[in-house]
Amino acid sequence: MMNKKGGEDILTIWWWIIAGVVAVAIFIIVTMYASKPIEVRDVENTVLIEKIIDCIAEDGKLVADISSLDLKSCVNLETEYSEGQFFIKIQELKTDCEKDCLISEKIEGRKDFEIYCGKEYGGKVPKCKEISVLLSKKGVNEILKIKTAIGKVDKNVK
Amino acid sequence: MISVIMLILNIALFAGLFYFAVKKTGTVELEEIYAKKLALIIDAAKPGMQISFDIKTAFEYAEENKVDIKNAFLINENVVYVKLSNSKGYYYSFFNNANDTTFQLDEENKVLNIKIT
Repeated sequence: MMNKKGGEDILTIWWWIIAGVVAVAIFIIVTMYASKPIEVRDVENTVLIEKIIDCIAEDGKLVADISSLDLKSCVNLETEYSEGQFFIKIQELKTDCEKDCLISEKIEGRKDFEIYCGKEYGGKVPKCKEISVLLSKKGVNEILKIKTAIGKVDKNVK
Repeated sequence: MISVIMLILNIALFAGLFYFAVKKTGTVELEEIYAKKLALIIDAAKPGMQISFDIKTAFEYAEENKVDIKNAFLINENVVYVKLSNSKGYYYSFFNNANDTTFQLDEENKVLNIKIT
C-alpha cells in the first residue's frame, strides 16, 4: 500500500514535469510562428512590374520614352521612397544583338539593391524580380527588361 | 481521487495551451494578414474599381478585444492601417497611384468597400 502511494507521488511529479516541458515547447513554437512575418514581396514585385508595363506599353507597343519616363506617373513610391525601400531598372534593348544592345535606360531608387538580383540570398535582404518582354516601337521589335527590388525587410523577413 | 484531480488539471492545462495557441496566432497575425491583403488588393486594382472585402473575422476579433471596428481599418496617403486589438496594430504601404482610395465600412454585411480612384 505504501509503495503504491509512493509510486503515485512520483508519477504526479513526472506528469507535471512532462506537462511543463510540453507547455514550454508549445509556447516557444507558437511564439516563433506568430512572430514570423508573411512574405509578400514576390507578389508585390510582380504587381509593380505589371503596373510599369501597363504605364509604358499599349497593345504590345512601347508608347513611352524610357530615359525621360517619370515613374511617379505610373506608381506612387512616396512611402517607399522616403524609407528607401525600392529599386527599379528599366532597359530598352535591341533584339538579335550581342553587344551595345542598350537603347535607353531608366533607374530609380536604391541602386545598392541591384546586387541582390543576381542570385537567391537568404536572410534579411531585399527581394528582387526581373522579367523581359518583347515589344515593338515604331514597327521595330525591342526587348524591354524590367528589374525591381523591394526592401521592406522588417515587414517580411524575421 | 488523485487520478480524477490529475485528469481535470491535465485537461485544464491542455485546454489553456490550446486557447493560447489559437489566440496568439489569431489576433497578431490577423492584423498583418488584413493589412498586407488590402495593400496588395489596392496595388493590383485599377482606377474606377469598387471592391467588397469580407471582414467577418475582423468584426469578431474587434468585438472580443473591445475595439471600435469603425477605426480598425484606415487608409492614409499610401499606407493601410489595421488595428483589431489594443496593441499598436499593423500597417503596410501600397504603391498604386490611387491617392484618393477610400475605405467604407458596411456594418450590416460585414464587408469593407474599397473605392479606387
